[in-house]
Amino acid sequence: MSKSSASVTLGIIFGNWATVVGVGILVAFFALSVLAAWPPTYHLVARYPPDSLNFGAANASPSLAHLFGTDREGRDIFARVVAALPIDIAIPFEVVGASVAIGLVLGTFAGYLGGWIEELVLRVADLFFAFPNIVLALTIAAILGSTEESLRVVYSELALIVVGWPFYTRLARAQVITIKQMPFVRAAEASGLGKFRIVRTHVIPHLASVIAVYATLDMGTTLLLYSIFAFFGLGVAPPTPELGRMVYDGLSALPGNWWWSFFPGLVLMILALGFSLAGEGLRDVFDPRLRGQR
Amino acid sequence: MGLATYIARRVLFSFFVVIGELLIIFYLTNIAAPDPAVIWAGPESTKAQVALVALTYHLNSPWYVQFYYYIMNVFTGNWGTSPLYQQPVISLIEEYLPVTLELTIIAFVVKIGLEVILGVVSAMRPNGVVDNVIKVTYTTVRSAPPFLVALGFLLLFAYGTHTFPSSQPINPILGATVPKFQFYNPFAGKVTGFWLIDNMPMLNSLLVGDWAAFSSAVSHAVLPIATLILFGFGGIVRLVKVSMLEVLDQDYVRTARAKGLRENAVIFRHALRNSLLPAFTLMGLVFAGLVTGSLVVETVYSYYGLGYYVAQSLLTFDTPSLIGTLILITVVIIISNLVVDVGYGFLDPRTRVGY
Repeated sequence: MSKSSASVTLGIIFGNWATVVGVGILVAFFALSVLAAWPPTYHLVARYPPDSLNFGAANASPSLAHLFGTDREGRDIFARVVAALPIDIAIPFEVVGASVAIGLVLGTFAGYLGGWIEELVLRVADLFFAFPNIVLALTIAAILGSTEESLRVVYSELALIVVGWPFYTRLARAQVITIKQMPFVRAAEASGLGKFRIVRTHVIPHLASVIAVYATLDMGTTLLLYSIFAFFGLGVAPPTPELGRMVYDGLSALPGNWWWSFFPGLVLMILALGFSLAGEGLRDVFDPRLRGQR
Repeated sequence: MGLATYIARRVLFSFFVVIGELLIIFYLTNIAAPDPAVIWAGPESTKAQVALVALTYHLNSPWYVQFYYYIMNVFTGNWGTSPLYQQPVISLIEEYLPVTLELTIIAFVVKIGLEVILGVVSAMRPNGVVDNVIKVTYTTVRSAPPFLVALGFLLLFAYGTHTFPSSQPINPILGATVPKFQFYNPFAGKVTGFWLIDNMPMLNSLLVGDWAAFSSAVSHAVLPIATLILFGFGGIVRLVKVSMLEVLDQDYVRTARAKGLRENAVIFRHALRNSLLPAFTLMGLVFAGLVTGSLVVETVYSYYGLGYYVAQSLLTFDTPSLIGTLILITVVIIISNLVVDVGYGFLDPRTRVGY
């Protein structure tokens, strides 16, 4: 990217306060989760370990000592939220990353090769689109995870990938059928490059930006969807904290100990907001037609 | 190709969708699982129960025999017995479905109406103060997980101001009894004789004329409906706004203005109709979203509908219930998509070419 176009890009990103807020939220949460995930730096962000029981301080309301209060066993909710962040941020990355990888490969080759391969891939994707995807994913995760508690999170991620890939397959295929008509692809074909090589070095880089935009937007959605899985006990096995599960556990303490559910839910919302604001900022950069339409 | 052919093709495709889903589920429960009988009997079951389940579901036969019984049972309405409730899944669905259907249909209508109005208002002065306030509001609300909104309403309007009743907080250690509708008065009588209508708490009490039951049912439903409306809020606002701006640019709108029509007449009688078309394509997705949202919303409010039933089945790994409700939800969503697509053809004759 030349200097002038880079400055235009930065201008679009930072000229819009919403995008600045989104990027700011994400940077702050990433920094927080890196510090929390590494044991030597954990004490910098939280004062208590996430699962130390302290019945003397059970059900304490938010205060300076316990920023988000404590739960029924006296565990510090702020500490548990911070400890949950690395997991809850990593999971959308894994799910969206795998969905994009599958969709990119299937979609590009379907679009580029055409014929019966394209027809087959599209019909299967259509089939998956017609499913009530969240309910299907929850059912798959519950059936697979009913016996082994330790593997539930893996099965939940698999279920989300099962319902996530068709979108990227269609997106990639729709992009490729226009890209493959472009002169530079024709030129690569004329120079005798193999199909696999053309797709890898010429087609995929061309649609990377569009995919990146939708993947960022999807990250926030996946974060919220996965929190529903965790809410229903299909996430990481306890006592490892997870935001969605903390909300569910806290419901049993209502109406007294409201902070137990409230703060983990609020953190989920801020994080999802970060992904959605940053994603829409990215879209303004890469898709000028939609600029200013939100 | 005529409309009948189009519908027939869609129904055929829907049939394959259901079969495809059944294949995935069958593979997971009966082939991939290390012990299928435990999956079907539930993790809490005894050895004798597991053995009985293996016999009822023909789990000791070869896979193709299992598959035959599996498919036959689905299409004959024998959807198994829930290990949690010890009742046939189909009768549990009968009890829970009308409650959720009533809730989601009301939420659907109000949500669409509200989003369309906000979309039109946004388009009147794009980037004005009102437009920006609407934008900020729905961007924020969209990012809220459904349980957070439900929790907020519960704390504010039920535990805080006591405007609406708070149902009992949910009990994580589930009792084995089937929860009955607390505010539904079984002695209110039934007038229509239709199972679906007679089991909708609000509609039935209204038809019977039992005002106490009606006001109780409504007051229990207000917060769940409000939460469902805010779940995934804003998609239609944005779409209506964008298409409204496009339509307002067109010649026939300029003509309407030039002949001296008032602005309200231009917007509501001329522009709005055409700008609603793109939003109509989203309706199926919105309805599917509400069905998903009802899982969480009914759990938080202890509103005993289908969503609550699915949620309890997830929490206790009640496989027969999960599969039964999955098939049901798939069929409901397929039907709603079909209605939307056919309806779109009636509203916009240009798209009928593709039929």
